[in-house]
Amino acid sequence: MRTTVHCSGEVRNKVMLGVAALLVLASIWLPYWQIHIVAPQYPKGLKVIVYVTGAGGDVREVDGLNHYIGMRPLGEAAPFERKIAVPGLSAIALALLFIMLIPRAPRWFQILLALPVWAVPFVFAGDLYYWLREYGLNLDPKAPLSAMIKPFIPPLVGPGRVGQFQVIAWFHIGYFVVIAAGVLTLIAIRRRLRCEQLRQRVPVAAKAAATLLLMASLLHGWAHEWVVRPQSDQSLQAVIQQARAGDTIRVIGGEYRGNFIVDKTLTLVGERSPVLDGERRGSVIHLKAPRCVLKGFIIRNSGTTLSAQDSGVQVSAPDCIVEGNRLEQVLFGVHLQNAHRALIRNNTIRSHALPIARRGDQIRLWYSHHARIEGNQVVGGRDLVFWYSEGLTIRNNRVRNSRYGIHFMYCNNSHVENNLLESNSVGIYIMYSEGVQVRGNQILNSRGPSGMGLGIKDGYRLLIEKNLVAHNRVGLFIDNGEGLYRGNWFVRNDVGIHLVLAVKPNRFEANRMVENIETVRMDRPDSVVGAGWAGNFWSDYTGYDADGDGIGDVPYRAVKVFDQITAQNAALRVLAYSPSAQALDFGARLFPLFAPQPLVTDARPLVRAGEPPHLMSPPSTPARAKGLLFMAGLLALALLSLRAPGTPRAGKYHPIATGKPSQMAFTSRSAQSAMVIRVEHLTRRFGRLVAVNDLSFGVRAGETVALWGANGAGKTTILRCLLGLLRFEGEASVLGYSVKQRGTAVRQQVGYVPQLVHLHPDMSVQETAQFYAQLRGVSAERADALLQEWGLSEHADKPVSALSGGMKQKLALVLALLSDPPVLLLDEPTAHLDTAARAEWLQLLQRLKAQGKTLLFCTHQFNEVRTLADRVVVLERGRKVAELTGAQFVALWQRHGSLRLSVPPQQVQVAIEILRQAGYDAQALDGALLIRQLEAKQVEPLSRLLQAGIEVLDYEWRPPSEPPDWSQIPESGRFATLTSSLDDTHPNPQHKGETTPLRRVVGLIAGKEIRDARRNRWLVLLMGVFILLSLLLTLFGLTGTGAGGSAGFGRTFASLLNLSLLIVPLMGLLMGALSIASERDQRTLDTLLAQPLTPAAILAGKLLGAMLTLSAAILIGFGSSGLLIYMAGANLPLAPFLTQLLLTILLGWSCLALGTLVSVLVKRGATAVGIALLLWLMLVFVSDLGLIGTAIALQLRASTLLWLTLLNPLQVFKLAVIQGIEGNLEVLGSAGLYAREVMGDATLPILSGILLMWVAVPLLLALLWFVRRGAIE
Amino acid sequence: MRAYLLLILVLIAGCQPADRPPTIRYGEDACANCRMIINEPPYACAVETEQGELRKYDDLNCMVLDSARIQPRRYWVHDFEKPDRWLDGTRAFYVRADNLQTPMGSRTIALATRDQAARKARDLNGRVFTFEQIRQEFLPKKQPSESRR
Repeated sequence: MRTTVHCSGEVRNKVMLGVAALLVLASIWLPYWQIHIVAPQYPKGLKVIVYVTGAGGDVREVDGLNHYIGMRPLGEAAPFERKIAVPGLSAIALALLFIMLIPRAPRWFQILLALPVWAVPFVFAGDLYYWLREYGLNLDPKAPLSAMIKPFIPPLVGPGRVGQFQVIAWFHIGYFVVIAAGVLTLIAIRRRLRCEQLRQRVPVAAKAAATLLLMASLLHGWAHEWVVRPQSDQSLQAVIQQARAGDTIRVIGGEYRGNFIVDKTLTLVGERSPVLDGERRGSVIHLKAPRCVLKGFIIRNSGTTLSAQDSGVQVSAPDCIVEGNRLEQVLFGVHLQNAHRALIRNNTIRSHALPIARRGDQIRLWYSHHARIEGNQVVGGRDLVFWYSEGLTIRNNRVRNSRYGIHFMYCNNSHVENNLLESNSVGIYIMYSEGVQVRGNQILNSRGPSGMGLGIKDGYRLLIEKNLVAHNRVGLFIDNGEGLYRGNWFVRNDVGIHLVLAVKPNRFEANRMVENIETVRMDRPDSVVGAGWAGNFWSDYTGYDADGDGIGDVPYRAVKVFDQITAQNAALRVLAYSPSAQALDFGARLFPLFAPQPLVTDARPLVRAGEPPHLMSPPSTPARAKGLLFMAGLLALALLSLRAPGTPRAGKYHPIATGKPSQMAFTSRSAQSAMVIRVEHLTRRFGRLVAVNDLSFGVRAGETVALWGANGAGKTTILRCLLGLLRFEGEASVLGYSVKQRGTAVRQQVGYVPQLVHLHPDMSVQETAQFYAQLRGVSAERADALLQEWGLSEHADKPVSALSGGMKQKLALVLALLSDPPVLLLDEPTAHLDTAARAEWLQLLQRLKAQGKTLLFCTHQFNEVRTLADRVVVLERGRKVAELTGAQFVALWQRHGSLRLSVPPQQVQVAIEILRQAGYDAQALDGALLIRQLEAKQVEPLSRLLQAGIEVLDYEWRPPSEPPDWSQIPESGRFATLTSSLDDTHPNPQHKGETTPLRRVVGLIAGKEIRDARRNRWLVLLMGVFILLSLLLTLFGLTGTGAGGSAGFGRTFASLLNLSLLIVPLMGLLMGALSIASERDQRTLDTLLAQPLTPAAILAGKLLGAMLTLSAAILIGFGSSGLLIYMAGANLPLAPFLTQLLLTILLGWSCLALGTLVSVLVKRGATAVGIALLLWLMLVFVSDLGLIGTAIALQLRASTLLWLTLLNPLQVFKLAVIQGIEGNLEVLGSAGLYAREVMGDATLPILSGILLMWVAVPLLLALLWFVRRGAIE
Repeated sequence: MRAYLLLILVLIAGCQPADRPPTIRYGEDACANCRMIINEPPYACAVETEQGELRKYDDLNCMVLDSARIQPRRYWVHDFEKPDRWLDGTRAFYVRADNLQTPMGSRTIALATRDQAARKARDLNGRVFTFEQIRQEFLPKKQPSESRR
């Protein structure tokens, strides 16, 4: 009920309402809004005037400019609004006239009719803002300047910027005219209302709400629910077609085949996981109507046509919900086009197993604003990519093994929160987007191509906060952007933050930079502008916090000389991760004067990182026990390698029985008459010196022949020629074996006692005897028996170096007799012995002679000839000047020789008297007696003196002070025994004696090499350092956040890589350099070469030993590191670990081969070690530094630099390791990319092959040199 | 030492760029301009610089924009109709159409002949461009005032 009262001024009200109607009508032709653009090329600027019917002014010019930045033509704006503007405003004017003419119309009706005129200014302003925003934010990405112009919103009122232009905007006359109309209307109606008594108690709003509720309940009542079962008569698609908008379809578990199209608003609910199967054709289901819901389905087998974007679920209408579905075997997962406000929640998406080039995106948005993507689980596929969509929310999703975890293209004002992005190529990549907030995400192991955790390319107004970015190749990559990075953890990435270009400021606050291999990288520091660093934690900070406030007292500075170098020539990044690069940076720290400008300066660095964020899912520890077992296996293998191969095993190897007389002695008559040693026209030159000149002689079986001559006569040379240790002209054979062709067989038949034996001083007597016994294929028992027989068993445990000269010679004889050879070559065996020892020796040799051995010995001791020799070959300057029987020689020499007797000094005169009385020409000489022209009675003077009670302390037959002129002696007298019988060639012995198998010989020498290495304290120290550092680096790698569960192996890999590059080459080169040269230094090489071995076998054995030792050290280093990692419960990928291990061993071997080559080329150990150290410096540092200089000076191209780099085995190793671990060489810049370009998928095999060549080529060269020149001179 | 220097010279001489089409590893190589991983052969393209460096792109607009900063010696584009076939970029014909979805939104494809391009343009409701024309489409335009100068 309401009553009305009479009101005065109604006429005025009517006038006001009439004017208002006219104003509204007039505004149709008046400008509502204007924007003025200040463009330099248009002196008067440009203006755009907006009427309700369209735009005027300089629209064409503005459209021309807008084309460059990708703004749509202005004429296309607000088509609907323009269409309704004139009728709308006319209707408003009519409504006002209606109010004017019918003052008694109900109050609410008057207000209802007046509402539009009041709404016009607001609707116009709101609509205008919408279109300004629409135009400014949705720039065409294909526009020429799209990369340079960021999206913008032109100002509604006041000054602003549009691209690079200044603008100013204001509302124009038309707008104010409408406002005036509204005000007039308001005044008029207000005046009328004052005159009315309001009786209506129920508020209008409440009425409206009640109406709405009623309508809603009616609508609900109309909605219908359908149930579809697999066995239903009607197919799902048929039901969809029959259903009305708003209906719900319940789909019961089962399989539904086909491509389903939902073209009306429906709710599809799957119960008991019904399957929608697209039969590999097209999209499985397409939601074309707004507000559709798809829930609880298994959706699978979409088509696989990339260009058609075959999808599991396609949505092309707003306000749809796709929730709780499982998508399998789909090309695209959920594909949204113009699907604003869509909700994609709690779906699981797995794609077709296709090559990456043919995969589709798991979730793809295209112009779908305000969509929400929440709680989805995505595995495989290509990307979660969002195009041209605003206000997105991406939350709580998990994306694994995809290409781009989350990829924004032109998506502004969006939120990315609490997602877990793991093992994708790139975690999050934000391109050409503004106002994106990335918060609380975990981005882990982005190590594929591009390999960025978080990448920014032209992203502005970003807020990146509290994310954990760990184990990525690059934690944060910025190629132009602007943002605030706060409280993020960048942990153990290869590169923490990589700034390529930044023309706008980026601020980094309270971030934790923890154990990134390279903390900050800038390609060109001068292209990064305005980066601000404050209050971050830097794990490589070396300052202090004296006041304990948690802030470092000196600024943190990241100084990277290497980065500055690579700025000169980007291809030089190929040398990254090398010790040389580290050394440059280290040098800059040591000598700050020469350090370049720091990349980063943080004046208030945190000194404590605090607790790392809790991982959403702890790293899996697959088969930890298996890993532990594997590492233990590696260690066991290392220990096995260090156990000397060929270590004697009692009773295993008994090729020759011991026994007397010698099995190899010649007892038969025919054999006795045969020539055992035959020398024909033997000539040996040392440069111009002819050491042996055309010498021929022979030695029969069982015969003892002396080679007599002064020092330098060529005696030793002849023996060395017979052993095959020296090359010579002419022919020589032993037991029918040609020395030149069958050297090993000859040495098998010959025992050799040098003038001064050289044995390994650190080996005991027994070890020595057993070692050589095994080399000769003789049992250890035989060696022990011989030691016993020759009175050395009591010294068995003494090191050889502790033996007296006589004992050493005796040991040499034992060694010569080990294989019971029929022939013995003795080189002045008593030269270094005292009288007593010499006498004992002569007895020993007589015993051997009695056993039937054939003896050839060098001497200038008359007594030895007299005692032993059946024949004597007299040499003078390499020529044979006489060959006599022993007796003839003695007789001849007794006429010329003298006997020197040592007696106590006080008895010298008495002795002279006694001897003179007996008719001897005796005189005193240097405190001793000298008896000349003794003839054949050399023992008689001794007997006479002994009978006279004079003690003879020593005696010696001495040649005449001048050698006899042999040419004066008739030839018949000099050559009593001619060598015509050389024709009696000795047949090869039936029992040749066992030649030790090559494999066993190599094994024995390798074993000795390992033993030697174990006893070399420098090598042991070096290996110890390697192993210790490996362990320390691993421990270091496991501390901090590593212990918190985010441990990976990235940094440990890199540390081990550096360690390997530094120490392994040093170990290899030194071991190689010492291998042969040290044997030469100790002169033990001759002793070895005198055994029935080939030089190749010796070198192979030594190399094998060194290789095993080196491998064992590397295995222990790596194995113990791996063990430690597994024990700490951290994750360790086995394949890259093994790759690095094997490559490190290969690197060690290549350096070992180089060292060995040096060792065989030089004569002295010290020289070899010196060259090895120089080589190490060269390979590790100098070559890199040289390359840096050359590359900068000549501006070498990446390709050239790569090939030059591959000349260094260390760099080859580094490249191979990085390829093995990373799967590509992108981290090494353009040269790395070029390497992949030319080597393709075979990069790792090719690099390993090159490394193998570095092993094989030096080894072959060393072998060739050693066999041809190094061993046999 | 002389041998070493000689070897270096030989290597430098041996590293002259070969005039051969590039190899792109799809799913692995990254675009030199936008750093996106190159995935789709029909739109992948490349240039070879005067220095012999090979730069690869995921879309034609990336190639044009990046090559404005370097000195390209050769341009390589893929024939859209035979995506495994490389074309000389300067001799190819280009079709730009709004309903083409390319990785970086260039909406442009390359074809071997003008006829093919015209046919494709009809199918896609697009326009045909020569190399120079398409370059001008993508390159930032000079401001009128600058051109007057």
